[in-house]
Amino acid sequence: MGSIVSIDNVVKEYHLGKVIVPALRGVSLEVHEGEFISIAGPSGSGKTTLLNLIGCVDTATSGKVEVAGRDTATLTERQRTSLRLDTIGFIFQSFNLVAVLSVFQNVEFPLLLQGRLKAADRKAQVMSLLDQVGLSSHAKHRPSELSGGQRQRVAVARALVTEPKLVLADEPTANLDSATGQNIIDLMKALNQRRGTTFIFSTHDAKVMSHANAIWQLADGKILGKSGPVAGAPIPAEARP
Amino acid sequence: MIGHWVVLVQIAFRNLFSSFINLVIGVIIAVGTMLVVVGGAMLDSLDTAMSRSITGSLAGHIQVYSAASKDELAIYGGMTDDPSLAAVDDFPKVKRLLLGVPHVKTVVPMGINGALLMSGNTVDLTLAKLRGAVKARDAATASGAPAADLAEQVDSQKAHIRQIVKVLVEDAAKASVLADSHAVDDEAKQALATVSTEPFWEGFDRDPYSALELLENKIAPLVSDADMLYVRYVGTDLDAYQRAFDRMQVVDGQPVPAGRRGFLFPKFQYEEQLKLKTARRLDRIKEGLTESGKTIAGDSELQRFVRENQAQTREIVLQLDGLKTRTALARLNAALHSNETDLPTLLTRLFTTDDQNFMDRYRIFYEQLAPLLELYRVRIGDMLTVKAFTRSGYVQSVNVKVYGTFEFKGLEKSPLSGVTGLMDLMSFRDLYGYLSADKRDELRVLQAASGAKAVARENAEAELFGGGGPVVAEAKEGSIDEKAQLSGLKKAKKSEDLVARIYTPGEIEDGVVLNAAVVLDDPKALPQAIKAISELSAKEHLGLKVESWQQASGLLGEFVLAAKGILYFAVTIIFVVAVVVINNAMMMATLQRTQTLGTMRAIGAQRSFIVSMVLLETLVLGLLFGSAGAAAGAAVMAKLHATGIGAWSDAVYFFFSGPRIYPSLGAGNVVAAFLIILVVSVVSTLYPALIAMRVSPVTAMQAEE
Amino acid sequence: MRSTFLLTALVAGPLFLAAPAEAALSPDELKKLIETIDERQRSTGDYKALCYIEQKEKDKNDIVRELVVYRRDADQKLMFLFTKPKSEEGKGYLRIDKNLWSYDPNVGKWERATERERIGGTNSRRSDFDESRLAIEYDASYEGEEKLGAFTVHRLVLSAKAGIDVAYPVVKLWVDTSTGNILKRQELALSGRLMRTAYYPKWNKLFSDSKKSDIWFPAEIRIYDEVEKSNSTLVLMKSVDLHSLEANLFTKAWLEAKSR
Repeated sequence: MGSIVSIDNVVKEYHLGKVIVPALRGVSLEVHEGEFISIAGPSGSGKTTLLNLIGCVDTATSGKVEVAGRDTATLTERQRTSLRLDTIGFIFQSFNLVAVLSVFQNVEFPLLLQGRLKAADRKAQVMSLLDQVGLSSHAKHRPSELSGGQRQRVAVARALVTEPKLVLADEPTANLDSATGQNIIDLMKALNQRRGTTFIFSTHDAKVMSHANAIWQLADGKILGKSGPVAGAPIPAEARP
Repeated sequence: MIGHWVVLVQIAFRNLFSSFINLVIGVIIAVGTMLVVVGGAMLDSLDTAMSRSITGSLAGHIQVYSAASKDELAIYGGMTDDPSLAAVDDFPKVKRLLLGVPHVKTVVPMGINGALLMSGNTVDLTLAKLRGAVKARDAATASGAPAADLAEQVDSQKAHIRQIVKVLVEDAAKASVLADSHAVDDEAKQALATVSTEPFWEGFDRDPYSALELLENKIAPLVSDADMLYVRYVGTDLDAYQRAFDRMQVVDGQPVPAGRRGFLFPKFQYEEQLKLKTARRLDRIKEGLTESGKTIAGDSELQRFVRENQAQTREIVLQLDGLKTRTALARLNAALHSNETDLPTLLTRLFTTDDQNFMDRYRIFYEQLAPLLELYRVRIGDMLTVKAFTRSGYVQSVNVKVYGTFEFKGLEKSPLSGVTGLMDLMSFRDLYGYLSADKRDELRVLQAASGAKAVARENAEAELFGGGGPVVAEAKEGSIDEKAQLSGLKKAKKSEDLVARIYTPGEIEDGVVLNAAVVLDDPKALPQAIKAISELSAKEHLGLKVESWQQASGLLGEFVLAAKGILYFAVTIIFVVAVVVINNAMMMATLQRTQTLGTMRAIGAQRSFIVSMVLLETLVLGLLFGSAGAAAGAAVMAKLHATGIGAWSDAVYFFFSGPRIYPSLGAGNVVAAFLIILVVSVVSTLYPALIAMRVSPVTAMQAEE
Repeated sequence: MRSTFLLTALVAGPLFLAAPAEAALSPDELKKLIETIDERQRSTGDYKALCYIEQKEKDKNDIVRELVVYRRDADQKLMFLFTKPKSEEGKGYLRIDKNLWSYDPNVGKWERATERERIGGTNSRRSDFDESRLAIEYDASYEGEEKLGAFTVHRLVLSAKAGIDVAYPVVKLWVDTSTGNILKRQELALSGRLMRTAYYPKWNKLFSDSKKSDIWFPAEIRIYDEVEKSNSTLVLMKSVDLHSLEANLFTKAWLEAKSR
């Protein structure tokens, strides 16, 4: 299988006034298509920064970020937006559904932005995904009428509706209780296996990361190492919350 | 792409009711639109009303006058004196040609001028009447005609003079009690003593002219209520004028009969300046109480009127002869339940008014006293002597009969238009006194015969006295025969004949005309008509300056412009406020939604999508609430159109062009309101949209705390 | 008091002596000078003059008129009758006591005017045509001797006596020292503002049988308006007639009849 994400010696620094805060200090990693990868590490370890770079919502200070074979540094803002729309799906920690749109419309939204499918095809596609996340009966509901887990399922459906090669999930279970969180991870895992979509998710929950094919341990802006997909594998001390 | 817009519209619509801020913005937009609809419709209605008042009263739609004029035309008067205009060459030709221009309905010749009306004091006026009566009686007696009526008139005027003398003697006595020796000098006292005696009046008819001379020269100067009045007038072809201008209406009296010389006083001036001051003050107190809701107790101006009426009873006392004085005393004593013998004291009591008794006293004045008085210094039907400095430099006086008063509907209370009278064109020309070629020659001959040479002020002393030649010469006695000097032409021209004469339209039109009002059949054709007339004037060498009524109406036109300016300014302020408020609200709304906006950007929405979304939202907001506002505005206008709005002050009266305006709503007002509100919405959202566009997709990743 | 006077005299005396050797007029001489001016112009019998008035104003046509002036100085009577041009014919002024009446035959009306009335709207006043009454109306003071062109003149300042109504309260006169004729006259308002300057370049005299001496009159008066600087008036007395006038001439009726 080919590489979907390739990161080479990436440094990311934030400027807070005159102070330069290093978030990533030379990270290199490679993700292959179809992997189900967890990025683990404590808060402030650079998980979100790394996901932002992979998700093309941010650019590296130095180093090279390649997504789906394209060097994100060479792309324009517009091209990066298109890359996000067509290649990457996002699942957020706090779901980030559009409150004024229905469940159906939230899922349909990326398809509308793409503007490729006709209304009927869109409907079929959206309903199929809602079916897969088990919410086809809630299509007309507003996000506010749903529970946290249901909302995150809608977010999962939205992330997958354009059939992206890569789905990024930033702490997808952090705002959910553990059972519901488990549900979401199961759903993601199922979709990964069924569709071959690459998933990269960040978490500091050991139970969650145990589902991953591989875990990249991140601490203090550096990759500590990649561990194998062993359930109950010992977690490096640094990665503990 | 359609789906793209569908979601935009959907998001916009759904956002409308999702946020409290949107509701606030919506209400602002609705109120704003309503104000624009109502304000715009009001503005248009006022403009139409004011325009109609002006075009329909004097200006017409277009004014033409000679391009050789030094000044600009100002129909209703400008800031300074009336402008100096050159005469229009050959008015009949101008009229004939202009009537051929499309949309031109009528062309009315005019000329504006002003004059001071001097009037002697009460005694002068009464003595002039007495002198006239004596002359008429003597003439009748000499020709053997019955003179009994005329003799009676003489006696009546004599009685009036005797009453005045009595008042003056009392005044003099009071003055000497107050040791005010300067008030009446010995010579005057002596004269008063003479004319107070019975023998003087018994002897009056034996030598009336000597007696009159004594009264005129010794007694009349003791009274100092002489007055002068500036009268501005438009000389015009009154028949053509009355047909063409629908806003003019005769209030008292009658229109000037066709072809006659005559004068119509503006009602405003007639009331303000010619009415007996006491009566005018009573009117104004009544107006204050009934129309402006003031009280005497609470208004210092009304209190001043009351005080002045109490103090200034003399103008009434001097108007009454002995008999009328007794009648007045009897009537007022009955009405006031008193037993007073001194008229001034009784009058002061009558005019001692407060909020309780005023209406009663007002009624007593008009019912009991007014019939004994001349309420106006110039009565309808009187001969008015107008004296003017002519353009040739000589003073010219003309007698013109006052046929009535008039007002312009909608401009009744305007001090600007309310002081312009209407005069026939023939009298106007006499007073305007254009220097004709004949007269110029006459003056040249006279000047040449005098042998006068000019000596400039600067070198007068050197030229006159520098030579040191003899100053003194022996003159030869001449024999001067004034009969030989006088041409005797005067005898043919009698003012009574002029007043009775009827002029033909040809005579009226063929002469000096300073400007002409052009009335159109369709006011909308104004720009074309101005263009057509200008071209015609150039082609036919008419030498005309062509101006719209706005330009030509001078100060009044500027007032209309200023009024519109103020209203537009107010509307602009409303919008500036609306822009600021909407902008702020949208900023708040945008900042509230950064997470959603960031999410959309992360998911793959381009910046342009975000901008469109925000703008569309306001547009939808604008359309929706704008419609609501427009509907509300239309409802308000429908109500106002039905009930009308009353003018609450004289200034408003002018804007309303009448006591009440019934404004109407045009489709244009609604369309304009919509366009304005959309532009305002979009403009006020541009910055928030920019902010929204700049929201980074990274925002989406930041967990909501 | 006395000592102060003496002191002043002692101090000021030398100053007076040091002043230029002018032919200063004594109060008596001054009084005599003014009375002579009045006396020369006085006419014991009736007096009639044909006058020409020309008024010049900026940017306007010259306004010219002819009028006949009637005087009976013994009774202080004065009347004007305008004869030319045609439009002015029959207009006139009549002075009775303190009243100056103006008449316009076009409207048949009399109006009371004041001493300050501009005759026919020109810069001339009633007093320019009337007998001279300077000694009666004014108190004179002497200001010195000076040159006016080629002439040596006395400069006098006259101020109106209390209770007398005159057109101007202050008058300055420049009187020819050799002939005693007024050559220049300036008139001032109460505020001290200069109102008119008049020149008298020609004096004529005519023997009167009733007066048994000459009657003097200014054959030419040039009046310059000092307020409206571009305005000036020329008055010419073309001829004088000393025949006696009709008894009832100075009446309103007589003037009215001229245009009827």
